[in-house]
Amino acid sequence: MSAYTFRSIYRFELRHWLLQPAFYLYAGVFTLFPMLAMAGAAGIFGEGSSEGIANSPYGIISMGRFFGQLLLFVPAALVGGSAYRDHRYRVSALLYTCPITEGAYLAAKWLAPMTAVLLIAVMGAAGLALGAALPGVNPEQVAAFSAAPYVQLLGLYWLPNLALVGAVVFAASFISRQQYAGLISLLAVLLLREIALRLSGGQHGGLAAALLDPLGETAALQWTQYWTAAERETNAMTPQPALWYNRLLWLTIAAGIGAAAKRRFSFRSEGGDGRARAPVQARNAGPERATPHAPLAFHFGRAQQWRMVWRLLQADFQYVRRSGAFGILLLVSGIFAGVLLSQMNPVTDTRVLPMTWVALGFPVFFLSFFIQLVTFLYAGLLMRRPQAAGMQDLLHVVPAPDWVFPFAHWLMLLCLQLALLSTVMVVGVAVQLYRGHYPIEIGHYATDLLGFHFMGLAAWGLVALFVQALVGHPYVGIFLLLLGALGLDYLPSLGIHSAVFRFNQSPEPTFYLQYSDMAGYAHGWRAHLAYKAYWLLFALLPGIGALLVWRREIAHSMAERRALAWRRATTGYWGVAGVALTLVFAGAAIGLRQMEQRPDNRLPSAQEQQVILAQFRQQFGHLAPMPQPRITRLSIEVDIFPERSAFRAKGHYTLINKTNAPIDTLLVKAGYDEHTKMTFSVPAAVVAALPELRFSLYRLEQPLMPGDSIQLRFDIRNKPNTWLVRHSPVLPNGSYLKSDIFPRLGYFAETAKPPPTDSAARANHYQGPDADVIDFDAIVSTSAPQTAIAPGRLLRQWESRGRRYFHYRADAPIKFVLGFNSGVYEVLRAQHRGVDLAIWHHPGHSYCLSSIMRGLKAALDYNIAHFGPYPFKELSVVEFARTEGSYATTAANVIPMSEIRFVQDIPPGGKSPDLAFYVAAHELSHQWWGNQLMPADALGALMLTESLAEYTTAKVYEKTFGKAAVDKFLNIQWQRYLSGKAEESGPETDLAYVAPNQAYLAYGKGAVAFYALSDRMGERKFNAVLRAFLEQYKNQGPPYPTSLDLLCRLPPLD
Amino acid sequence: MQLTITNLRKTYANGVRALDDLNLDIKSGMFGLLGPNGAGKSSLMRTLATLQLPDEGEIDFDGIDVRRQPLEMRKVLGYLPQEFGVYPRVSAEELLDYFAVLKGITGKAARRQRIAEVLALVNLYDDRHKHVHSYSGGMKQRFGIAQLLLGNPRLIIVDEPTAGLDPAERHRFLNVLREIASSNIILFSTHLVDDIQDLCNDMAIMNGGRILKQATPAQAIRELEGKIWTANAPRGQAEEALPTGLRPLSMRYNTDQSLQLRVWAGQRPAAAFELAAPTLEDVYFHTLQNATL
Repeated sequence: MSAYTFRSIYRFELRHWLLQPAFYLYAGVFTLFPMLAMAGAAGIFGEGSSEGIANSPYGIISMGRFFGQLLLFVPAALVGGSAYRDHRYRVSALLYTCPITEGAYLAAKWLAPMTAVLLIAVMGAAGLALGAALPGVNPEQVAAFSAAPYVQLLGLYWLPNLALVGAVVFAASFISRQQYAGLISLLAVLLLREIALRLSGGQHGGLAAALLDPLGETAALQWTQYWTAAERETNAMTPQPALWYNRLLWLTIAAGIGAAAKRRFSFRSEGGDGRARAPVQARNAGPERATPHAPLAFHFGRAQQWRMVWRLLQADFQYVRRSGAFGILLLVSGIFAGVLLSQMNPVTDTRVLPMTWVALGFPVFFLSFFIQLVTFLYAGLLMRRPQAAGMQDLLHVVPAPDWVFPFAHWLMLLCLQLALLSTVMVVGVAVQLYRGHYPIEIGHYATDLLGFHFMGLAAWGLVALFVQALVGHPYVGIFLLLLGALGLDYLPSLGIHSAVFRFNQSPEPTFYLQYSDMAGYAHGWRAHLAYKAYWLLFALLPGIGALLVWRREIAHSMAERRALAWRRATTGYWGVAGVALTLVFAGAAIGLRQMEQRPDNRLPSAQEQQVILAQFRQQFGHLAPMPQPRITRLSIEVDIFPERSAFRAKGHYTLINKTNAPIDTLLVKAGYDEHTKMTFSVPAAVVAALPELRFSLYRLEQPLMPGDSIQLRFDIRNKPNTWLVRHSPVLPNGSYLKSDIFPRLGYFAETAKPPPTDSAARANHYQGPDADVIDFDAIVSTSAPQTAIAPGRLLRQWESRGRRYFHYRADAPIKFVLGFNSGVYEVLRAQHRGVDLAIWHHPGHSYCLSSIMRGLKAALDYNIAHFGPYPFKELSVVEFARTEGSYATTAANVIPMSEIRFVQDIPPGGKSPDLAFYVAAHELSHQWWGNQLMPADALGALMLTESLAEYTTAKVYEKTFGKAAVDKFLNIQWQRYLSGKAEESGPETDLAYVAPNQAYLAYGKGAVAFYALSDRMGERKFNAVLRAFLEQYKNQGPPYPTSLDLLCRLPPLD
Repeated sequence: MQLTITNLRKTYANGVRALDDLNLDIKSGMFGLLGPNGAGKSSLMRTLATLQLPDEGEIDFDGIDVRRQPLEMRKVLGYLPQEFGVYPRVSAEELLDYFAVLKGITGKAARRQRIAEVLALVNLYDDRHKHVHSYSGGMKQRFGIAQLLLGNPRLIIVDEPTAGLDPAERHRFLNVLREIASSNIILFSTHLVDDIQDLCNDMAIMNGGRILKQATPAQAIRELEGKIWTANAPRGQAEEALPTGLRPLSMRYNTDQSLQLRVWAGQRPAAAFELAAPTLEDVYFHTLQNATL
């Protein structure tokens, strides 16, 4: 009996789902998109559009991971719908009387939509397989078909995950009897998963992390994260024990949830609205009352229409408040924001202090997609609420104009968005209060959340209302919106880069990270706001669309819907408004695009750069071996104007012909973002030029004879910033001007470095194509409250007409790697080993000063003891705004260091690496490895600078924090090496041949290798070799040493 | 006050002709629209209530072009659909406040007074704090009338409001309608003849999307005077009792299990038949029968 009814319910339900257009939409999308993704990875879009074998087991599982997460939406829609449907149409009261057990009923209600989900999942896997077999794919990127990975993808990932989500959604829907329970519970599961992964370390965590991941992805990620490109193409994806345990655990949990749902469920409770209902006395008899009909004024004017909006908004608000689901979302998003703020960077095991920009940055970045999803969901729920309750015929004949309904819903969506955004602020402030000593910058929170992020969400709200009004089925609407939102990320790969054509994008996607305590939002905010306003303007169109198509009247065909929309468009001037708005938007788009195309508003694309470089090579390539004079002296006046983001640099080089032959042709390339005027101290003329590259070819009237010198005078001004593009390196505060503002000599288009065996490479050091070392003299000025800092010794400082002047001179020649910093600074000074140490920092950024100072002192101690004296009398660390970057570098006796190193969270007791200490020690070690020892401009140069500096730093670290700490430090380097290696294709490069872009080798492998070597040989012995090597080459011109010169000094290991 | 419907047509996408060149004039008072299920009553009423568009034809209510000025129509309209739900977990008072604002009543005090009035009128005042969701069928219908009355409508359209009500509830409900009928048009659809007889001063019988007959109930009954004949036949012998060519308007079992037949005929159809006083039900069946003939 029961089996029979199970079968009939199951069949009935399954037929229902297979007849839904939504089923075919999902099935179509989940076949087509995986197919396209796989075909794309297999090179169907032409040569160079992808690389590697697309359908390797690793490739299939990785691609499957993305679509697997998208697939989870389907059970949320289908299973949730199945559970809700009987309640909605009050079938359950009938079923109560039928001879079915509750278990059989529930099983049928669950299995039928899950069968549809299974079909869609199989279509998805088939789509992936088909994609690799499409005509037009590159056969070299496709391996022979094997079913095993697809079976694994389905059996170990997709189906268990779908079953788990199906069970959760089913339980939530039956218990809450709300249509949206499916999506809300899915969102909650996904957010809780994020939280669990972040707390357990995820990919970088251990077995616990692998087990905690409900989707089972972490186990495979942990196993494969260091695979090289070759391994990813050929290795089998053998399921690891962790994966089996994980699957077992979560399937058990899914079954448990199902069992719990069955126990909670009974037809009895299903009959009514689930509450015991107080009997309501029907008062049918009773005294007749006269109809008083007091005279009453009705109003339908503007004011009343706004009152209607307000009342509709109140009703929406009550709805959201009473349903409780939104409260759960708020809570989960708050927890998520809190976890994001408390977690460590999993790679370096460090974190940044909860500065306001930190509290805003990551949570907003991660939550904004979540807020979008909630917007999509509630747009559908609010639009469909009258229909869901059956109240539409009462409501839709009220004398309220059409616009008030969608408009009120939009306002409600804005409220929801604000509430979710405000969790970021609440959590941020709470964390800051808990941690103590930070200024609580409510204004900064408000500006960022309301000013910069809210507008984009508001625009999404209008689009969501339109789609939901058009589709009329909340889950299908959400799905389409989700596809659209994800699709936006793929527009650049279709060649659409401009933010003019990409909805709601701003020209600088990393904008959210660019706040600096020193420079504020600096320059980026204008463009960001302009684009957000532009897209909000655009979104008014779908907004009008929503009010034209929302389902107020009953339409039986598309033609009727069109007729109704037309009536609304023509009676309320909305059509006129729509047309006018379209014109305005089109005008804005054209205007914005033209603005973007203006030469000073655009940076050349990588492709354009290639073209122009190729042109340069063709035109001037024959000049590559042309000998050039060397820069031996730079004398300069730099005026920095922080208040108007400008600078001017006037000065000259002294050029000496160090060759044995006369030189009459000079190749000069000026700074790319600067306006540079140049003259020579002798008659010279430009004979050829390529202005796109700021390149000029000069002919001297009288050749420059060997040993002779001339002057190259220049006057440099920054190209002014436009509101779209920042050209000037000058910031309101915390500026950092680098050597790239200066003209340089020689043929610069040689990108590949020669091997260290190439003796010609020894003519230049690694940072000096046109100079060995130079005499340096600079007068730097800046606006009054700021201090200007440059390499050398401060000779004199004075004030004149509201500006401050600083005269610096290097006591001995320095490498041509310069920095000019300007900012409002406080300074911490100390003296150590006869060196005056100064840390110029942003007032308030005093959290890490002791770490930095300790790092400097410890590095001085170690390097002086083992490698000889420090070459200057002073050393300054200067903080610059993170707008410029998050790195640190060395310019003679100055270490410009990013703001980010001044706000590291360094827990006491060495629980996590002290990055501030480490960076200070590393940069100071470059005084030996990089400044005193300047390697030749060949492959392997970084081994002599970065690897040795890392080794030294590891030793300094060990001396200060002990063996355990340095082990942790080296372990991080080791992981850096492994991750970097996994990114490379082709065989691994020898450390002695490391290229400039292979930081993972130079730092990661170098640190570990030299540390191990030192361990093996003994620290003293190894350092003696380094010292002898340094002594031989230090402070010398060409020929410069190569990595091989050091290697051949190392004794053979036994 | 007049509602004029001219040449109204509506064909659904599945080919069903719901309104077939329908013409109707309705004046103040209670107007009953009688017809079997599927006659097109609801289609007509939804069209009048601005909820759907006709394919062709015009509707004019006191100068309002209902097709083109739906908002103007809605200002004077009260509509109670055949079936409706309400937002769960909302009290009658709160829901009426919501409707009151949307119906243009300004001012909190005015709304409160108005809500109290309509609640008293439909005798729900004491249940105003309860969730409408939990009301009985009759109470819910009366709530529907309450929300309809908020806006002081001049044209009231109620679609089969008595279906599913118990006799007491129905009685109470009709009393309420009677009370508000004085100065408005109430268009009232039903398939219960008694509803019309009790209430309406004008009526139309509708089927197949057309108006088959429009008359006052009294006049319609008068037209049948002398034409309705009745006879009793033993159970199972109705066929034999009827003269050939004559179809019964209605058949009803008497308490002794015999069958009472009613027929329309210009003169006594057979000896067993006796003249009967016509009822509105006779009018209804006769009109439907004539139309199908």
